Amino acid sequence: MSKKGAVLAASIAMVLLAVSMSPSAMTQPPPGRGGRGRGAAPRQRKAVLAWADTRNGIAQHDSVSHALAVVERLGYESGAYDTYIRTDSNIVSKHPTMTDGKPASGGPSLATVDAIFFLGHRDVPLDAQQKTDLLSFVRDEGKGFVAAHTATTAFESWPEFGELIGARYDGHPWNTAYGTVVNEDPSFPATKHLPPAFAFTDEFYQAKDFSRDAIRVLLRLDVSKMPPNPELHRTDGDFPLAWAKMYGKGRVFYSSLGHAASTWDNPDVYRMYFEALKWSLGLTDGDAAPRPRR
Amino acid sequence: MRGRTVRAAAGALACLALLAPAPRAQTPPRKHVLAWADVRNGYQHDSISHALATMERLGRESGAYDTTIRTDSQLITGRPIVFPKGTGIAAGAGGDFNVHDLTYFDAIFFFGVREIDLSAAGRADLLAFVRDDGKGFVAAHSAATAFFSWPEFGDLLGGRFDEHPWNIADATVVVDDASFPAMRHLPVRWRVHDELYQLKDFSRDRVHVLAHLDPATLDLHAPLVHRTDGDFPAAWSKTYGKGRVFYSILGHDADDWDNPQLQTMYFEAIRWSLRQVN
Repeated sequence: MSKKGAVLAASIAMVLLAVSMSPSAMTQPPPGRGGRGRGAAPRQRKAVLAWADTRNGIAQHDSVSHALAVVERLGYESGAYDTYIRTDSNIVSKHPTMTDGKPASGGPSLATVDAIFFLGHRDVPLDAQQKTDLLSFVRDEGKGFVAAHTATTAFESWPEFGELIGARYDGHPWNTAYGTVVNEDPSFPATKHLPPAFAFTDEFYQAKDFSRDAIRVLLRLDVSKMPPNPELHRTDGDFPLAWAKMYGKGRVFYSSLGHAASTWDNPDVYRMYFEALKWSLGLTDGDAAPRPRR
Repeated sequence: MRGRTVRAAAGALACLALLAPAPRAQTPPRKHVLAWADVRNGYQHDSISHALATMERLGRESGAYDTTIRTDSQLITGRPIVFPKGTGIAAGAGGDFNVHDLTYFDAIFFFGVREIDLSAAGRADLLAFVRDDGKGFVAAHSAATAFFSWPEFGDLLGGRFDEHPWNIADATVVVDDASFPAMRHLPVRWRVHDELYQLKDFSRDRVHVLAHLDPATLDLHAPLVHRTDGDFPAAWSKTYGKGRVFYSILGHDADDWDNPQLQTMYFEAIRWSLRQVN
């Protein structure tokens, strides 16, 4: 670079710095945060509701709290998003209420967060309006919905939830077992870091009520390498473990990986969920168009 | 010589075992901490989720305890939690369903706020958990705003919130008991930047003040300053029946929980409440 060029580049850098520190930029508060204090430059962070209402599920997983804490840490440390951890469902609403039904006093809600990380379980207590708000949050407002493991056991009696998430839970034939996972889409942000096939131990959930016309499968279990099992219901060997899809305008990701707390310490796993969250927030792009098995 | 080599090899193996990511089984078995922050009826401080996640990480990484995070109060009961038929994956299969009531936990880390929807039976069980079962109760910041209409909670915690006349401000915390586990790592005079709470309804006959705000570093003419004796505790310990209780006013902002001094204070307070240290 010529001396003149270097001076020009330096002045551009100064201007950019000045713009980034201008009062108008500084007075714009980051969404969803109160005083972060200490005069640190505000970061434009997204807000994620990490929602794990397990109150009506008997098999409450010990991994849930660790998963919530890991998801929080990934967003906090990277600066990609801030997390509200909730194991109740009061703020899963555009008009959240307190326990006595009166309006909540501000704070996070479906009107203020940008994506949900869902690790709920079985019959989650939402009223009809909350269900409408949740679907609209993703479908109409284009917000993100990333779900893990027990999420497919949730809301069994609510058909639209099955359409939102893309499948239903149909047992775990081998319980916690060793298997081979096939990466069907190494170009998708959440599976880019994973090899074409890899060994993995987890409680592999069998999915049902899914269609490859509606979801883009990212990971599947290689059933041909698993021992025979009478609870294996599908005869075509299709056993998705992670997928992406659209629900209206919103981006949806689900994976069944993550039964044990230690699974969430595995960088391959937490990176998958972190990248899925970033994708669902629109921070990265990936093709969620359905396609046949490969 | 050979013995030393064997010991060195065993030590190296032990180090490798510590480095290995799994299995995480420990001996003795880990304690169980319920990180309970029912925020449904009040303002959810932005710091609460980060505080819960931080306390979870400290317990997990150290091996001192495992944490269950809840923002509902379902587990605040001493009785088995029962479900309608057909709601559990393993329903009917027998065995451990992992639904933990208070009898499973060894301590509570409490970061709730305002009036919490808890039944009379739940309240009685919470008090008995500490008073009769000798379990721990460590509480942070907005905890002193909780259950204002329930007198016994004030007895459990040791005091009540009485506004934050200085809002978020700089002040000096003076450590009064540098020998206490949660204070040992702190300088005698600790500069903090936090939302400083004024406390009321406490008695130095019943709480052991571990640290206080230096009144010389506070504006005592701020409109909501009610205390005339300059007594502004920042942290205390106490017993409630057989159980150990710790409270500190500190931790309003999320990044306060990134301060190793504050992290160590709450972590050591939990270990003390679990009787891992005295």
